[in-house]
Amino acid sequence: MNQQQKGNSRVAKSRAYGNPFVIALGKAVRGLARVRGGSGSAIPGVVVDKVAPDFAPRVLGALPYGVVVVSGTNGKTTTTKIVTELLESQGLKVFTNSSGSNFMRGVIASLLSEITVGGRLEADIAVLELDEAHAVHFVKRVAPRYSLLLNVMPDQLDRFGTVEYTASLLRQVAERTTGTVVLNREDAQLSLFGTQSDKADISEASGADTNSLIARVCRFGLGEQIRDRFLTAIGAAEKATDNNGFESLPATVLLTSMEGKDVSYEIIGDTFNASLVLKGLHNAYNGAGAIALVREIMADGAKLKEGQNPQDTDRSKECDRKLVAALTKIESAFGRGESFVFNGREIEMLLVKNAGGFSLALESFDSEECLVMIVANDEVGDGRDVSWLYDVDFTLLKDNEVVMLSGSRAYDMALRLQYDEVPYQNVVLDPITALDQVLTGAKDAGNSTNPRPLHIFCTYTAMMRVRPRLIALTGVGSTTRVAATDSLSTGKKQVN
Amino acid sequence: MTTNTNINSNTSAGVQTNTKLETFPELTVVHLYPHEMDINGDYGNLLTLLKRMQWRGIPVKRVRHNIGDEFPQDADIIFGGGGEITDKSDVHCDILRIKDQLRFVVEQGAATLVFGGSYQLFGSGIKLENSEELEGLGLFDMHTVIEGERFIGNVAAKSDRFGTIVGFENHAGKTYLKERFKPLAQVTKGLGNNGSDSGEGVHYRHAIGSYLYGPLLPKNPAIADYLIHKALEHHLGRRVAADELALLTEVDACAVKAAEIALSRL
Repeated sequence: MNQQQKGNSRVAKSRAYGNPFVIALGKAVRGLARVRGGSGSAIPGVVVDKVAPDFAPRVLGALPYGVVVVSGTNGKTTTTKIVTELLESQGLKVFTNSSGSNFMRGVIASLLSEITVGGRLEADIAVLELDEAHAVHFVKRVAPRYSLLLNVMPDQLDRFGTVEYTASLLRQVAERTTGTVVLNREDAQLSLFGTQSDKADISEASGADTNSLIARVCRFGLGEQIRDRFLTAIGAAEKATDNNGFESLPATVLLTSMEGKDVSYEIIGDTFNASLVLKGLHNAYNGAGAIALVREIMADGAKLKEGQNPQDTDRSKECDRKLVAALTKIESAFGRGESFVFNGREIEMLLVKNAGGFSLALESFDSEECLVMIVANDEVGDGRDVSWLYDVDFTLLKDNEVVMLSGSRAYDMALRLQYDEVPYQNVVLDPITALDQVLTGAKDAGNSTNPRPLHIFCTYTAMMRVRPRLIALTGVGSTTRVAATDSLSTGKKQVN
Repeated sequence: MTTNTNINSNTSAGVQTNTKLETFPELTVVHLYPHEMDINGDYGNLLTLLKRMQWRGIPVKRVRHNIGDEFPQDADIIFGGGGEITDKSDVHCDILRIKDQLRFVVEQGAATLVFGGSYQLFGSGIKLENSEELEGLGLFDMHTVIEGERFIGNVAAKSDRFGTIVGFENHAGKTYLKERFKPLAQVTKGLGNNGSDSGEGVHYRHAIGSYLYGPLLPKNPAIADYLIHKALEHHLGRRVAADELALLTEVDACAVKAAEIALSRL
C-alpha cells in the first residue's frame, strides 16, 4: 500500500495541464449546450477541437502512463469498463470516455468535464473506447502507448464494406501504438499483426516481410477445449482453422474453461479460478484481454518505480492473482446484460448488435426455461441492413417461449424465426406497448410466486427505447446513466 | 452451417397438401464454396430454398462444393454466395477449373442463384482495382469493374416476373450486361448493377444473379419458388405445373408484411 501511494504521489507531479482559456471556453459551451436541452456531450468538443486542435493531444500526451485505445467490433464498452476498473484496483486514477462518446470530439467533451478550470487532468492514464473508423482519426493525432484490439466481425458491413477493410483500420491503430499492442489470438484478421506471416505487411512492403509495428505484441487466447465452443458460436470455426495456424502463437493470458459463472484463466502457465459477475463467454474472454493489457501496463509502471523488478515472478504472480480477484467483482456496462425485477420476475436486457454477439448471447445463457422478447430496429445506430439476423442460429431458442417480437423490423425477425421453426406468440411493432403487454399479459404475471425470467434481446436503438421504460417500471437505474442514454440516442451513429 | 435434410416435418408454415405428383424426386442442391463465399446472411437464401422444399416434402441431397472437389453433374440447384474476389483467390482458380461442367449444367436448365462475388464470377470477366483483368465463367454476358464508391443501402426493384423485389445492396463492383441479357429487375430505389442503367441482377435461362442481400429469398419467396419449380422441371426433364408446389400461407403472409415494412423504410 505504501508503495502504491508513493507511486501515485510521484505521478501526481506530472499531471497534465491544458490551456485555461480553452478549458473555460469548452466548459462554457458545455454549459450552454446543456441549457439548450442538448446532451452536453459532443458540441463543446466540436468548438474546442476547432479553436485548439492541440488541446486533446497535449492534455492526453502528458499523462504519465499514457493513453490506452480499446477497439474492435464487439465488446468495446464492457472491455473498456473492465480495463478501467482493473487499473483502478491497482491504485491508478483513470480517465475514460465512459459516456459512450467514442470519437475524437466525444473524448474532448469527456476531457472537459473532468479537467479542472486550472487545467489539471487528475489522472494517471486514459482508457478510451474508440470505434474502428474514429480510432484511426484519433491515433493520427494522439499516439497511444497501448492498444487492445478485440475482434473484427462482419456486423458493420453496411458502413465499412468488408472485414478486410475494417482490419486495415485496426492495423493503423496497431502501427501508431508506441508501447504494447494486445491482440485477440483467435481472430483471423488480427492475430497475425506484427508477425512475418502477416500478409498485409508482406505485400505493402514490396516483398520484404518486415514488421511494421514499433510496439511490442502480446496476445490473449482461448484454451483448446473452450476454443471449439467459442468459435462455433461465432460461426468461424472452419474458417479459422483453415488459416495460418495462429492458434499456436504464444498468449500471455488464456481463458481455459467456463461453466456458468466459474471460469479458469491461465496466465503464463499459472491457473487462476474465479467466479464472475459478468455473464457470457464473450465477456469472460474480453476479461482475458483486459488482464493481458493491464499486466503489461503494471509491469511497465513497476519498471518506472525504484526497487521493483518486473522479472520477479512471485510478485508478478501475486499481481495476476489480484487482477483476477478484481475481475470477479466487475459488472457489465449498461445494456450489456442489465438486470431488473418486476413483480417478482427477473428481467435481463441484452444488447445484440451483430450475428456473433447474438449467437454468443443465446449460447451463453443458462439453459433454464425462460420467456424471450426480441426487439429489432434498423435505424442507423443498429445498422440499416438486417441481413445478419440470418447468420444467427435461433434454433437455440427452441426450449424457450418467444412471447414477443417487436421493433421496426419485427416482421423480419418473425420471418427469420419461421425459417428456423421457432414458434413465437405476438408481434407488436412499438417496443413500449410490446413490453407492457409482455409484463402484464404473461400467463404467470402477477399472482405466480415464481414467474419465469424474461430475456429481452435488443438492437441498439431498441435498447434506448426499452431501457427507460424498464427503469420507470422497476424504479432502478441512476440519472447519470439516463443522461448518457439520451446523448447517445440523439447524435448520429456514435456507438460501435 | 448445419442443415436438416430430413423431410418429416411438413406441418410448419401452413402447408396445404394437394400435390398431384405421387412423390417428388430427390433434388441435388450444390452449394459453391460454402466457406469462402458466405457473407451477410447468404445462408438465409439457402435456408429458404431448403426449408421450402422440406415443408413440401421434396427430398434434398445437399452437396458442398469445396476447392478441389469434383463438380456434381446431377446438380438441380446451384447456389453461390457473396465474397470478395481477388487475383490470388483460390475460388477464382477453382471455378475456372470446373468451368465446363458448371456451364453445361446451367445451360441445361439447372436452377441457379448467385450473389455478389459469385454473381461477378459468372460473368465474362472482372476488372480489379489494380486494373488486372480476371477471367470469368462467361455464363452471363456481362462485365464487372471494381471501382469507385461502394453502393450501400436498401433497394426496391420492379420485375415483370416477380413483382416488387426488396433487398439491401453493398458492393464495389459495377456490372454491365450486354444487350441480349436481361436484368432481374429495374431498381426504383437504390443503385443496382452499375448505378447508371437502373438494372439489378441478371436473369438468364433458370439462373439468377444479384447484388441484393437481405437476404433476397425470405422476403421475395416468389423467386425461391420459381427456382424450386425450375429445378423440378430440370430434374424430371418435363414441364411441371406450378401448382404442384403447395402454398406456404403462413410464412408467406409474414414475408409480405416484412417486405411492406422494408419498402416503408427505404
